[in-house]
Amino acid sequence: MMNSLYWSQFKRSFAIVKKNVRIYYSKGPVVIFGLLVPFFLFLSFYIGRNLPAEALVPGLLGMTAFFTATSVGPAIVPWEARAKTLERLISSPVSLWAIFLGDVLSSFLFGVFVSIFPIIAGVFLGIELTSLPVLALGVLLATFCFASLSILLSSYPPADTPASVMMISSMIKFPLVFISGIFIPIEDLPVWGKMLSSISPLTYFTDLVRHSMQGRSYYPVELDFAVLVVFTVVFLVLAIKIHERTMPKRL
Amino acid sequence: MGIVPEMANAYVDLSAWNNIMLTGELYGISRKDRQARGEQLLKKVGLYQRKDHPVKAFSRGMKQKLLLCMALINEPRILFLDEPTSGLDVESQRLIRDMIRELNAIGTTVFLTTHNMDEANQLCDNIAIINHGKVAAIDSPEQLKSRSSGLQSIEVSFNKKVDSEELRKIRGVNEVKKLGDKWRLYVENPNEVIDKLVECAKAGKTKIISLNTLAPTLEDVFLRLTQEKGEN
Repeated sequence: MMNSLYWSQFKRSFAIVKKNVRIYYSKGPVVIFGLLVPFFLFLSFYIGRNLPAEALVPGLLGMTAFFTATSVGPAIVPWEARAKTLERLISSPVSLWAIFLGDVLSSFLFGVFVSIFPIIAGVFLGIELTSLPVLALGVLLATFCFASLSILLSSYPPADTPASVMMISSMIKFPLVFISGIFIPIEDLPVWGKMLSSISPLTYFTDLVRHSMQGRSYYPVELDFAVLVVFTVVFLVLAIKIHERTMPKRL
Repeated sequence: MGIVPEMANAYVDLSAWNNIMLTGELYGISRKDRQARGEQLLKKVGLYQRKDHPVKAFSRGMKQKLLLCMALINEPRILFLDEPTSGLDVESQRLIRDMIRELNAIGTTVFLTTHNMDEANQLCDNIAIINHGKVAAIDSPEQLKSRSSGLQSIEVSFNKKVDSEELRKIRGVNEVKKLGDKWRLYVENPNEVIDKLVECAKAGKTKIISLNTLAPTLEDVFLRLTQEKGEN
């Protein structure tokens, strides 16, 4: 009985995914923007530095997965609150967790899809993958983690203007990129930098990608996975709980 | 339960069909059933030919019809409608009202929120008049009208100008209003006043061109009730 109830709600999450993909993620500019931002950030780092592809592609992949999985997610709830479609969703027999899970899943699928491009680019640049399962699992887990973060970013304050939420999320996202061992490997960071980088989920994903492409990582692979799981659970639970509390203020 | 809000809140970037299918999925309706019912509803409101068009290209009336289809996809036993015909063309208004009647006839309980007294009068078995968030009266339309004594009126026109003071002086007349070339007299007992009105016209050598007695409208009842509560 309980299982069938959860399953029926889970199916409704997929209806939300379909809706999000049709409305937000299948638009050309969104896909292009998802690729362009990390690519240009990467270029600004790459040009003028003589680094091997193995040292560069993990950073590019890390940024791509992070930026794409968090690109649209923060705007969905404020957008729908403004268009009053959020009212429609919550007045239908769908649990709030199922609505937000749908939002997370759509960000996750978009992030995974776009992340394939830097992996293909890496293969073309001659990178040999030392551990494909670690890379695949890492991409899936990290993208889900970042997608959960994207929903958390829109949870407070309960604004109905996507622009203000996007500004707040950019203020959090960009600093995270700079402290996550993307531009400077973690082992080269000072002690305070290492401590700072340990609070970013992107650090552990970049570390996993380095392991799968260079065969070495700063943290043990098991620790990278474990920390990403913890971050995912914390982001997801916090996002749902805060959204539940702030929902009346959005209507 | 189905809800048709006042503000059109379908997804404007989705097609009419995808909006209905999404609603069906959110209500847990099987693919086969939601497709069959979606097709049937869109055909009924005349939107089937436009089912693949994005809602942002729809007129207000089309959006309202679509909202009704979305609310009916799960065959609700209770339907809430908020100003369903507000701002719509006459044809769309009639279609929506007919659908509401049909739904009610097959056993659907319909809650209709409206400022349109005529619509409430035509569609509702029971009306609750809400003033400042509180129910001022609840009854059937005719019962509400009959409860409002002093709201019956006589509409009369004369062949020449008449002073309103002369009409006010007639015993039993509570209020006099000029409506174009006619006068409306609010009275307690129309029969009594008509006799006096004829006498008055004869005395003033004036001819009555038309004379009608009018029952109070729901609008009169509404105004009376809301004003009374406001004064209290």
